[in-house]
Amino acid sequence: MKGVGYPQSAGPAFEEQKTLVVKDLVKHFPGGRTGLGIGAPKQWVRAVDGVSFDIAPGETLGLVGESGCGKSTIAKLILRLEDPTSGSIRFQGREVTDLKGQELKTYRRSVQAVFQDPYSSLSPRMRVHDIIAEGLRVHTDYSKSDIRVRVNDVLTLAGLSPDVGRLYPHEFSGGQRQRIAIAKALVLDTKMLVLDEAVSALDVSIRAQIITLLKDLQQELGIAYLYIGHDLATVAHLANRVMVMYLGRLLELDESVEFVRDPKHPYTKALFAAALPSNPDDVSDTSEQPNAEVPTALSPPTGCHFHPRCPDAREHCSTQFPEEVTLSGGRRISCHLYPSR
Amino acid sequence: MSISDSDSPLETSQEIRQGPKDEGSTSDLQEQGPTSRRARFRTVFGFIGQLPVGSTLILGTLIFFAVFAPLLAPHDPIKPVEGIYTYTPAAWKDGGSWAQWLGTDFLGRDVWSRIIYGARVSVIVGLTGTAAAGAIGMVMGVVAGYFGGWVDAFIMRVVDAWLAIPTLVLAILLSMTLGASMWNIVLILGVVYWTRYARILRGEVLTLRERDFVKLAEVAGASRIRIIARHIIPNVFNTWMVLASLTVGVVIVAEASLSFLGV
Repeated sequence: MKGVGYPQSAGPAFEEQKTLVVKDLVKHFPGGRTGLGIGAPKQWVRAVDGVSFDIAPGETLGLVGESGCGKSTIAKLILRLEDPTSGSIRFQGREVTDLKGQELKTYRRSVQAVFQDPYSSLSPRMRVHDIIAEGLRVHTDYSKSDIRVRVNDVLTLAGLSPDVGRLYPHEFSGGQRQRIAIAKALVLDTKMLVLDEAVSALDVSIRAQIITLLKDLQQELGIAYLYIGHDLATVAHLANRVMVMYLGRLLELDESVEFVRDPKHPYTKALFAAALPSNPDDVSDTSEQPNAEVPTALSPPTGCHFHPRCPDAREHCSTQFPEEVTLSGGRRISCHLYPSR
Repeated sequence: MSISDSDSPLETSQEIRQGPKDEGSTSDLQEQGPTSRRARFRTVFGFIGQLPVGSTLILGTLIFFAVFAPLLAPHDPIKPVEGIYTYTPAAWKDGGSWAQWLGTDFLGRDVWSRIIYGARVSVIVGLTGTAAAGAIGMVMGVVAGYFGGWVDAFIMRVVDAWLAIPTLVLAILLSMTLGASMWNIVLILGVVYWTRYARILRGEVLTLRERDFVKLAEVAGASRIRIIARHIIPNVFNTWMVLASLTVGVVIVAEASLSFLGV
């Protein structure tokens, strides 16, 4: 998939302005293997299949999609927890997909993550102080008192009292644990934060607090966020731009949150219609609801992956994957309803 | 946040006890000084109170005899009792005497003294043999579980092969080749019994490796050694302890079997 909507003049200058530039990213996992579990896999799971996007400093890119659409795989690829099959990830103009050793360590100073489950993301056998200080101990030769000062700073930033450093994670609630996870992510000179469903596990009132905290921190520190979520209201609240994925492919990326009010792609429309309205009398239009089950990424439908569920599917939708088109306002979309010129 | 204001339950109970002090009764005034000492005493006593009584008594007796063997044993365990160079029965049997109340063995050595000194060997070999097995098993299990791939496959096949060999036969073979000093026996017991640790810890590590905090440590740039030392091992330590407590008895019996077989 050639990035048609991608700025044609994407030279080095453009890339250096951006915190992160991802181009034609592909990740295939081996699917079922032959009898003995050795040899080449029979089929591949196309978790991410040619996705391009970028994130500017101080900006939040929202990434939404159903379970299994490749959202978390993208997070893992950016964090270098997985290696991409092909494609490029550039961080501040530098290619990061082939970093090793010391260079990879340097990259890890700048890119941190907050994960979904606050009960799994803090080591139960370490005190909060040590959990947060880990990055400093790995990357700097700070003295004990320097570390203490810095840890107390980030605890305060995350809205916690410095006294909590001596406690263990089990003494905290989910929201407080997520604050600790955020503090941990900020302890080094973080330039980008990958928030993989960072608030999905929290209850609604706590969720609002954490979202507000994240917004404040972004304003204060100018960090770029990649916010992954399936809660559209939260994404719309936090993100400057939103992108929608379906079965490993990018379907729609909008340059503004306008998107949420005016989805163009039939899948996006369906996704937004599926979200419950805040007022139960605002009955959503059920005609937009997709009927079939989500196909598996092991054997995605031919042509446009969405066509079996699409209310507007045409004949050629099942044979041809739509070219990506840039609409007015910078919105990128892959759908035959919006033909390329 | 409001974590700091909920302090330890110890202070709360002190407040409750300080309650009647305001009324100024003399007994409470006397208590005023040593309150903290009493609190500390309570903490220590609370710990002792949590120990299981039966097993503590048995283990305590064993360790007591092992430590103070020279003071408690009436005779030298290795030399025959003066004047007796043959088997004598226990005190309550015909021909027994209370001077050697459990009797002597065929060489005239006092059985009671030998039991007391035997506790030493059992405790030392039991603990160090277990530690040796646990150390080997911990390294193998953690390495197999954390690195995965062919390393994992290789170590686990070695474990499979190891488990197929009868333990006592292996122990006898090794002690024949290495010679049978006490520390050799410890090493041999370690080499014989490491497999169960490796198996079980590997499984634990496999699940731990997928936990988010391990991934975040990787994202934070921590080296593999650091992740293993700071994140993996502390989290499998409980399992390790339980396994170790189960192994001590097995190791003592194995050591006794070896010594019975004359190794």
